[in-house]
Amino acid sequence: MEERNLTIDLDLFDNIYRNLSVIWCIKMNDIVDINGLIIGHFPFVDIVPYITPFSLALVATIVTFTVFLAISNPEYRSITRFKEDVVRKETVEKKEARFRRFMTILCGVALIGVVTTGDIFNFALFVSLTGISNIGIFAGIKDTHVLDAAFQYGLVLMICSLPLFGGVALILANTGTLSLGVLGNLPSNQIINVGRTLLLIGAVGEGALAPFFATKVEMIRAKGAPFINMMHLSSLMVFTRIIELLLILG
Amino acid sequence: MIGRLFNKLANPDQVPKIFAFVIIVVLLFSLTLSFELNQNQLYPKPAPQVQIELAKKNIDISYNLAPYNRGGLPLDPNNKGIVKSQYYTPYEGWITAYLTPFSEWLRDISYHLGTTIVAHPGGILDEILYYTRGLDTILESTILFAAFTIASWVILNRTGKK
Amino acid sequence: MDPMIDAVVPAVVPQIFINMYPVAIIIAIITAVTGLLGIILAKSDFQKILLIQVVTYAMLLIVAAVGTDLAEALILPGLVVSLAEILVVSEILISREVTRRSEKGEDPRKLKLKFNPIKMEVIKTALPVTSVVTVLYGAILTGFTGGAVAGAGILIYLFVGKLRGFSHNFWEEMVGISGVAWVLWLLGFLLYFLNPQLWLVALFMSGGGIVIKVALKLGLLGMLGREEFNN
Repeated sequence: MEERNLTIDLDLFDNIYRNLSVIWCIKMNDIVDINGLIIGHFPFVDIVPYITPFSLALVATIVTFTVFLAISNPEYRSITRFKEDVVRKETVEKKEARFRRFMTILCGVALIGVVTTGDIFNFALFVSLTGISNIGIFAGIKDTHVLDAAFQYGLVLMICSLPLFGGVALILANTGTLSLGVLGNLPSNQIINVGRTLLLIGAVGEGALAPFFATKVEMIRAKGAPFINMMHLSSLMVFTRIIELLLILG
Repeated sequence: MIGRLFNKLANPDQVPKIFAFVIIVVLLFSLTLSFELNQNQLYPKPAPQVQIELAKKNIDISYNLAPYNRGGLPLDPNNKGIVKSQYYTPYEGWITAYLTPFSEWLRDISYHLGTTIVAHPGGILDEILYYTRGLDTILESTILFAAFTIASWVILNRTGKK
Repeated sequence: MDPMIDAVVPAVVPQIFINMYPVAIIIAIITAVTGLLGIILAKSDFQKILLIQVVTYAMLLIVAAVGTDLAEALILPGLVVSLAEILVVSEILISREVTRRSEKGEDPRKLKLKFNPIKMEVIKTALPVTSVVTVLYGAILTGFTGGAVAGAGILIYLFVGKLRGFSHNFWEEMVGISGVAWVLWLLGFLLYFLNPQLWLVALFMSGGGIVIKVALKLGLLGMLGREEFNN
């Protein structure tokens, strides 16, 4: 067979990128500068999530918050109306509470991925998952205002998949790699800066933050309070992580 | 004036438009830069039509997989396919030549198998999707799973007929 | 370098991809600007959802311009993310309209769009046993293809004649089982990473998981088709 001859020259490709231990233990200049020493990494072949003291603190926060939300019951909201002599209590139905709890846990898992991942395409996917599970928390509410705000947020999600994945692809084309371990050692240039700007816009949109994000204010008027707080946590974590990522890429 | 501006921003309708506008500005500014592709990419592809020309010359049966022939024999540690991945792993290149019996038969009689995905597990794309970048595929299906859960829940409990 | 290896996996990206890259990026930017301008100018919400597809094409163009096997593999997740988002967002739009109309006091069911499926003789007269055969064949195939074949079997069952034996709740529970199947698929993956010697077990776990998952998704679609419109 011809293939037998083809495998001889494999050494040609054994450049510096291929040695895992070299990259993840010694040559992590930018990541080590920003986050401190790497405590551990999980080599899923090309995608290597890693943990530093900084991301360990973030993971601890997310886990604590998610566990608290997962075991809590939905709020009872007292409603008094003018000219009525009764205080009515409102809460979400049981089925909906269960669904929202599931989406909250999914969002927590996605956030753990966001803060630990070591690959920018993987980061983009985790941020998208955060966005979709955030929408899921609001999908069951029977309120036109909230649904309208959730719909506009969904439109932003769809628009922002362009800057998110486009920015990643520009960086891939310019540097030839997606791994943060390698990207942390490369110098920045103009194209990478465009990619970083696009990544920032994309993460801002998908993570539901943005200083002028009116939809968020509309959405948190929904009832069923504890699960909705996941949205604020996701904004915070996605924003922290994207800043860290931009510093590593730069 | 400023108050009117803020009132406009408070309307959820405006938010997607603002995002769209910002992205347009960034993209138009980036048009002035010179985009160029780095030569040293991971998982490179041969130039278009090269493999199909070789397949027509009948040099080797594996070229009938054109343009996805990456060498090697299926699940054979001594004859692995050539995969230029980011980090080295001893199990890479195992399935770049793996085909189902039906696909093997198709490969034997035609050199257009690479253009179809009929019953075709294995190959370079599956190697990347399911092995070297497997976490991406898990996530991708998780996203689809979350979307299906939300959509089916909304249909079953809100908009569908009960 | 040996021309033979160059034809299989070249050491560097061929010149033709490098020449085409700036052109592809400029086309992608023009596409993106067109789509985004459409979103700024569009009046109706439904129109916006349609126009966002143009933006998604621009995203796929930027990824595809890299022109390696990796880029080809990255297109699939990008496409799936945009598909998932459009699914959720359009469901929320429908839910919003239904809520708005029931708040106004109208009956939302009456305002639903008319759906006229093509009347195909073969769907009504096909043997129900066809679906059993298809599901069994799909289970043997396993994997994504198998799931599609088995799902087609469930669709045939739902379309042929009357629904027998399975209630609305049954299908709702099936959605839950789909989640369990997905977990099975995930565990298969993890096993493959942690201990590649067990690849056969992992393969069967993943293949079995995805066959159930895809089949049930198609079944759900068929159920919705019956539930909502065929009365």
